[in-house]
Amino acid sequence: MKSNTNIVLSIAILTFLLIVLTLFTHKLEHEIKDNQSFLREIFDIKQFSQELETEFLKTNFYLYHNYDTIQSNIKSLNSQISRIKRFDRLNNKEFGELKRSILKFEKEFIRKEKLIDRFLTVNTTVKNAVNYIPNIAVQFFSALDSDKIERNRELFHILSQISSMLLLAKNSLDIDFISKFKEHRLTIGSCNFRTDEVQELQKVLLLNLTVIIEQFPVYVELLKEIENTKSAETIKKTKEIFFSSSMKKMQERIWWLTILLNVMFFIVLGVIVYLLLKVDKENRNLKKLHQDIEKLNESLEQKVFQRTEKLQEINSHITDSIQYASLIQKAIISEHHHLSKHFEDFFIIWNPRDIVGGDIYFIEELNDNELIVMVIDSTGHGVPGAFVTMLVKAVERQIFSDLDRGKIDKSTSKMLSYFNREIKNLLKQNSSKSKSNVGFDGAIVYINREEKILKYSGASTPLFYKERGKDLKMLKGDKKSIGYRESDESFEFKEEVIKIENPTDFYLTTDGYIDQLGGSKEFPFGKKRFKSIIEKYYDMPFSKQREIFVTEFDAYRRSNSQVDDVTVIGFKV
Amino acid sequence: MIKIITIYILILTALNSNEPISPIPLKVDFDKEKAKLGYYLFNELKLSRDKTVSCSTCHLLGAGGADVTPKSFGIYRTKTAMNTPTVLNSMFNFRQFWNGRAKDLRQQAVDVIHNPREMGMNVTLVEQRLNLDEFYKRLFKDTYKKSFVHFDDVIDAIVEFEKSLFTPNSRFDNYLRGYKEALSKEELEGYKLFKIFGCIMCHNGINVGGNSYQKMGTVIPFTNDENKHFNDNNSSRPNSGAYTTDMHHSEDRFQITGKVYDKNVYKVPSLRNIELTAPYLHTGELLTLKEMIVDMGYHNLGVHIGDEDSSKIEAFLKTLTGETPKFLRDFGN
Repeated sequence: MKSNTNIVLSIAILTFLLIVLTLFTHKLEHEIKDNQSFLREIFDIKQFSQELETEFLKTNFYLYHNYDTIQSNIKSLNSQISRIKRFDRLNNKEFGELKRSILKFEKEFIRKEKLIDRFLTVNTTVKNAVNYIPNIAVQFFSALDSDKIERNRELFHILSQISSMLLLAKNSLDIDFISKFKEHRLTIGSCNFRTDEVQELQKVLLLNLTVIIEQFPVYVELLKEIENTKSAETIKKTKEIFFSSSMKKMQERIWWLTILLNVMFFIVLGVIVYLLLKVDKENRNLKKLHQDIEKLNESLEQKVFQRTEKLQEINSHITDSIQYASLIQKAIISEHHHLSKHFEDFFIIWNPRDIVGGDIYFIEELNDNELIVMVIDSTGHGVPGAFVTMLVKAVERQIFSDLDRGKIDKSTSKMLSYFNREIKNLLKQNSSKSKSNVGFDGAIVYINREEKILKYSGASTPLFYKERGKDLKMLKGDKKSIGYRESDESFEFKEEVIKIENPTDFYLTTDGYIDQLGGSKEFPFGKKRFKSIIEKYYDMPFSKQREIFVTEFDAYRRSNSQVDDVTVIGFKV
Repeated sequence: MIKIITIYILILTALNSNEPISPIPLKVDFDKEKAKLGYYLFNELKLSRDKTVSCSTCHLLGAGGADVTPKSFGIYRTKTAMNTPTVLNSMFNFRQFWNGRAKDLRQQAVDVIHNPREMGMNVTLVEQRLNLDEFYKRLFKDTYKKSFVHFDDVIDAIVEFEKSLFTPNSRFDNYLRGYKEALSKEELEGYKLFKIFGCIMCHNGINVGGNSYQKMGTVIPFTNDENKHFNDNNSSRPNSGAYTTDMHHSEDRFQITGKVYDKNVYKVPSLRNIELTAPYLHTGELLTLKEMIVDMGYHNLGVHIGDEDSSKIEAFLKTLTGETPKFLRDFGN
């Protein structure tokens, strides 16, 4: 009981650990995926940042450029930032530094976006001015020729210097040139021109120079600021923080996973060792039990052998006794030598189921013309049946004694009633305290050859008879038994009288023949089959008929054992 | 198959070209069911407080998606601050409104509906009115599978409709895609002048503008005199003085950033379909393309673009007119 509890407890702990392991690995898997996504976002941000840098450089370098490429990168980066900010982990205090770094990057990027927006404005203005000033300078100088002023040479020099300085300034991002531009603006501005055309060109030139003077330092400053924005640096740092924080976290998780797996391994190992030891112990117990059982078997076999020997001895003794009893029973059955005197032909089948039986028959000659035949089927069979037959024999002797002395009539009905009374009296069946409830079924036939009559009374035992040229008939008798506690002591049995005018065959049988089980359906033999044998073979010699009755009985019985004692008597009058 | 190969070759050509302007895509993804609903909402007067204006009151879909008047009128006949920019191709702009205060179409739609001078509505009122209208309730239920009309879905539908308003296959786009004969000699010269004069510096990209903020009057300061042309007796335009107006300030970047250098700085308008979207400039003060070209050259480049050159540039600008959006054509417009 205790060992079962231990196993259940171990399985419960293992199940719990397995659930923990599953949840843990699920969380770990989720975390790894999350890390991958997060890392992908960082790489995307880095990539878009680099693309933005490239496009920005192109904008700076090319005279004109498609600003969509820059705006598209900015839009993508903004989307990336929004996406990365939505990661759950950033709400975790453990990743506070990572969150701060991302927010810093966002802040830097917003700043950079604003700077780029402004730069695109200033860039356009500066580029246009840088592009226009040399063009206007040429137009201006051409117009000066027609104006013929003395300072043409100096102006030409100034205009050339402005054009070259613009290129130098633009390519070197040197704002020191601004002071020189201012000087030249003053010089050009101080000139007075007569024609409207020159005056207009002078105005446009001065305006563009003013644009350069005002916007170029802003242009340079913005470039530097954009260059100095820490977005690239921040994203790099974010990546580092991510690796340090997330990887550290992952390492921790893996460490815990290892511990958990180790614990589970040792528990499983412990359970296996425990189970093996338990199985070994159980085996040893079983072996011992097996040995004990073998010893017990040996002892039992010896005892059985001894008892069998004893039983065989007892059985032999009993069998001997019964065999002897059978001799006694056979001795009380009437002899047959006088039958041939009374009957033209006859046969008797008396076949107890065991060595002795409950069936018995009596054939008693009253004189040369009168004969009484009795067929008795006592309660039970074997030894108890035999005892009853002895009792029946005693009463039968009294009846014949009384017949001899004329105390009773030669009435089969009265003879049955006599039996009934005497048996009940002998066995005290009239007393309510009586424990005996035995008796018999039977039939008594009285034959008077002189008067050519046959009287019959039956207690649940029929009489079959076949007169030459007529159908087989059956007299059922009464459906009452002789003896038994419930039988009526004063019951008067019917007495049938048959006039024998022609040779007639008579048959009496106990229920042992009729009730024998057999056939394909294991049904009783039955009166119908019994009658058909008579109808079929009545004209054959009775010795042959006996053989047929025995053969038909055995054939029908097949392998079934005989269920009851069998008595059949056939005779021809 | 041949069509697909041709389109593929054209796309490759376009990708490989170094032109600072890129063609409008032939296909833009949008939800047609939502766009259909958006179309009704775009024309719905119930979306304004006094039920007198809808989106299409200012964005006339038959007039290049812009207004024909210099300044549009909002609820209670209040004149708005700026000339209405076109709604066509607006999804390609990097920001919305002249001062770029909306980062996308969604914010733009929300801003206009809430603007007290334009539609003067709020979320509750919009939902209240549309939920009382069985027509919209049914449409929203079919489209958004909701029995209640939500403000967010109203905006979403309008945005989906606006995404459908792209105008591909302009002659210039065909030129960019490799059909060199799509432009006449004059138009091609106009494009070259467009680059030489530096217009391209600001007007580049898919929308030929709409991707940066620039100062109006970079070289020669621009004065905001909105009636300087409409007061001209020769003008065919109605005198704006006939309408009540309550504001004269310009919605420039300065209104957003508060930085002095952002005064008179605006989002560069798109030049797509420009021949259809007169009057021009943020003030709506110029009636013709040529006037606009000269004016821009004067203020932003400091040059006077001559008549011949401006004609050529005008001819080029007219090649930027694309097809009427397919969705509108299919819808019976």
